[in-house]
Amino acid sequence: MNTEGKIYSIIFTFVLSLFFVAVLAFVFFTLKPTIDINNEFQLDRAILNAMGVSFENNEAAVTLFNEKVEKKKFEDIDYYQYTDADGSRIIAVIQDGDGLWGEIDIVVAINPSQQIVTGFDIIKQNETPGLGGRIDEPWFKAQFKGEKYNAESGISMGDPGIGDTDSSNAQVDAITGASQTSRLVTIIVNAALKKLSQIAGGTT
Amino acid sequence: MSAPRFRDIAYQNFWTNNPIFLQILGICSTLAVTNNLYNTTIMSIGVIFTTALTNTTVSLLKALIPRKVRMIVQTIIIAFYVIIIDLLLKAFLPEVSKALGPYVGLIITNCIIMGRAEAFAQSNPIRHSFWDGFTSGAGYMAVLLGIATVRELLGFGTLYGFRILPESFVPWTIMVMAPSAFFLLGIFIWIAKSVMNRKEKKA
Repeated sequence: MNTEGKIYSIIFTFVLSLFFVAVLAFVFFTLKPTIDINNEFQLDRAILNAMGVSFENNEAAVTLFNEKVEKKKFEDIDYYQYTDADGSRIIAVIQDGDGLWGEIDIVVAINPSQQIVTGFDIIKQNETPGLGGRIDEPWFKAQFKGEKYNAESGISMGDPGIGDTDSSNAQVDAITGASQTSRLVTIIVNAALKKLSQIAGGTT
Repeated sequence: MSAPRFRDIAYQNFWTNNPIFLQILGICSTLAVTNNLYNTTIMSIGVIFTTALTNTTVSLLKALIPRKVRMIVQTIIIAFYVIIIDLLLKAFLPEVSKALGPYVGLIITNCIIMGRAEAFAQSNPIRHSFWDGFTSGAGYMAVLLGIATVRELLGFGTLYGFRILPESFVPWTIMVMAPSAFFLLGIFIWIAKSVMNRKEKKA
C-alpha cells in the first residue's frame, strides 16, 4: 500500500478525525449529566455564598436553594430573593462582563435595608491562573462582604499599597499583578449594584 | 536501530535532555502557571497524561501515518487527549477546572508533546514511546515544581496554600509576576548546565 499517495493521505486523515470525533462525542454525552449537575451546584452555591447563607455540602446547598431562594423578575431583570431569620430581605443578580481574556460571570447580593453588599461570587472566569484568576480566592471575595456601597458610584479600588480594612468607604483592594482584572471586576460588580438598586427601589 | 533502554530514556528526560533545561520547550506554561504549586501540579499531570498517550498513539499508528500529513495527525491526537482531560476535570474536579480556566485547553500548544511525538514516537516501539512521553512530562513537572516552590514561597509565603513563612514576612511581589519565572528559569538552567559541564570535564 502506498501510504504517501494523495488519496490515501486524505482518506487516512478523514477516517482518523472521524474516529476521534466519535469517541469524543461518546465521552461528552456520557459525562454531560455529571457536568450539568456540577454547573447547577456551582450556580446555586455561588448565589448562596453571595447572600451569605452557609451550607454544609453541595447537596445541602441545592436543597437550601430550592427551599429558601425565590427566583423573581423586576421589569426585565431576573433576580433571586432570600429572607433571613430576622426577616431581612437579601436580593442577588447574576451579571456578566468583559474580563482581561474573556467573559466573567458573577453573582452579587445586597441587603437593601442596610445598603451593604452581603457578598459576591464568581460563576465563570477565564483570567490568568495565579494572577487574574485569583479573583476567585476567598480573601478577594471576602473584601466585598459587608461593604457599604454608594448606589451612584458603586465600589472602587482603593489606593495601592495601603490595604483597605474600612467596610464603610466602598473601596476594596486590587490583586497584585492583576490590576486590570481587578478593575474590570469592579465594573461588573457596579453594573450588578445598579440593577440591584433598581430592584430594591421598585420592589419590597 | 535498537530501541534505547528504559533507564536511559528516563535519565535523558529528567536530566541530560530535559525538555525545559536543554530543549527550552514548554516555556509559556513555565512562565504562566508557576506562581502557584497547586495549578502547576494539575497542569503538569495533564501534560504527563497527554504526552504519554500521544506518544503511544503516534507509535501505534506510525506505519500508517503519511509523512506529509504527520504533523496534522499529531495535532489531532494531542487535541483529542486534551479535550478528554478537560471533560474529565469538568466532570470530576470542577473546582480545578474553574481555577485553571483556559490553560487546560492550551496544553495542546505545549511544544514538548509534539516535540516528543516527532522526535521519538515516530521511530520507536510503543512501550518505549509511552515511557518517553511519561518521563518527558515528569521531567517537565520536576522543573516546574522547583520553580513554583520558590515563587509561591517567596510570593505568598505559602506552599500549596498552607502558610509556611510567618505573617510578618513581606511577600516579594515580583515573584507573583511572570518576569520572576524568567529569572528563576535562567538560574535553574545555569545551575543545571554548570553541574553537567563539571561532570563532563571529570569524565
